[in-house]
Amino acid sequence: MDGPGDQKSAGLSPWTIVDDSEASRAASPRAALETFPEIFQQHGRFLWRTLMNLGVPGHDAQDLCQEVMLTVHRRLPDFDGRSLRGWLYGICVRVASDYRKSARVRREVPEPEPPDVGLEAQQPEQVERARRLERVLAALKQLSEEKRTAFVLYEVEELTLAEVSEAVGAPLQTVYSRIKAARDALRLELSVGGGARETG
Amino acid sequence: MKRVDEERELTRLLNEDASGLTEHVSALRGHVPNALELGALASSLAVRGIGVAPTTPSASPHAWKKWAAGGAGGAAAIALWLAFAPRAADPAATSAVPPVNNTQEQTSAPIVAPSRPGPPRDARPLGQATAAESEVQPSSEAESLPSSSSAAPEARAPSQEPRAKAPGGAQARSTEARAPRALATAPPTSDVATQPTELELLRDARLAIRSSPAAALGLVDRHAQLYPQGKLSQERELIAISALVAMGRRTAALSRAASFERSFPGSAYRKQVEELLR
Repeated sequence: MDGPGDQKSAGLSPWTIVDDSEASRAASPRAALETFPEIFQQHGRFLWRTLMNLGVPGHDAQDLCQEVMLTVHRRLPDFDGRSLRGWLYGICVRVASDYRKSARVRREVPEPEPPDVGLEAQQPEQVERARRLERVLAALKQLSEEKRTAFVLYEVEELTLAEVSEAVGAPLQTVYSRIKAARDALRLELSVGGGARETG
Repeated sequence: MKRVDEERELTRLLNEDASGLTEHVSALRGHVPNALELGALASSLAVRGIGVAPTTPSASPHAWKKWAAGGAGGAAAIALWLAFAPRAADPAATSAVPPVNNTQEQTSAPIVAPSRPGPPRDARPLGQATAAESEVQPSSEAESLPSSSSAAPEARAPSQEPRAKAPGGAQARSTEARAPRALATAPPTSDVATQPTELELLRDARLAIRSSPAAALGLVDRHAQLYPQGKLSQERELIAISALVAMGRRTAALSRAASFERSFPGSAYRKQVEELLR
């Protein structure tokens, strides 16, 4: 599994030139033959968004997104073309998961409030939006990693159930159950402003 | 039950169970990186020789052509970086925004997955979601963005919905497209109107790293002279460290990296600096 500690990625010299003509295109003729630049432009910000919504702090999001992009670039020739988004978000999910399990995260000091949202917006609706984001991010953190991931991929990134299934490596029924449970927990958490905590 | 049928049925059930979380989901969708952050990511990939702007890939096995392609990739990344830079940071950047923005708009058509089995998600209560997403300004990177990512206009999710055509900002930029500029070689001048901008200096410096790192270092020094507290000071230092590494001046690179760490302890480029010195 590729992740932050992948040696092949870590050993890449900053002066290594990667031949995009060969390395950057999906191999399968069934694929849309997106190049890496196209993937970066069309999906980069959403993969970054997913990392943050999965709990990666803003100050680490760029590093993690770079890990995702490097993995995508390295593995794109081997992409079988079944589901680009399922594949991309699968990499994103695994990188986020590895990050959470890393020793650095276990020792991490809790982020000072507020998180990277910032309240420098000047209009009341922007302030309200920022506060809403804070609340939902806090509520997401209360979910299990599986439920949070399924919810974020389905609701926020609008992947299909099949794409979510591929991204997380779980059956459709399991993905459905996780999304449903996540919705229920979030509705409760956000409606009462801190109801019962999910333990699973 | 076939997988497609199963997916269709489960999606239907989810659609029937309206989440009641539309506004919160909308807030999460707006939680995107700003243009500067994306530009920094593009830059970090470019330092590794991975271009992120659409370019014609080099098919030549010759090393020098690969270096040129890498340089072009780096230049393309700089162009992308320029495109993402907030307008308010440097008015001159508005006119310096390269045609890459046009390309970006043209290639921003949604990538449709090769196969999209399962039921369409049209039955979802997209009315509210769509209304929230109508706040999207896809050309947000063309505008000066607030530092709060949550306040930034959310971008449309790919492949599900068509990208809205960029409003006047990007269209205005397209009419300002200019040919790539020559290297800034004019001597320092006190005339603010004629001195090169921060972006111009650092763009030229980045372009020069591979072919002439000493020249890149000269441009970096000039940037430091003209813009000692410039908004792109971090980028300047990253380029300087890259140039020193390219010149084999490891001790100087380490010293400058240490200074960078002291000056910008929370910099997003920290890891890139570490990678350069590895």
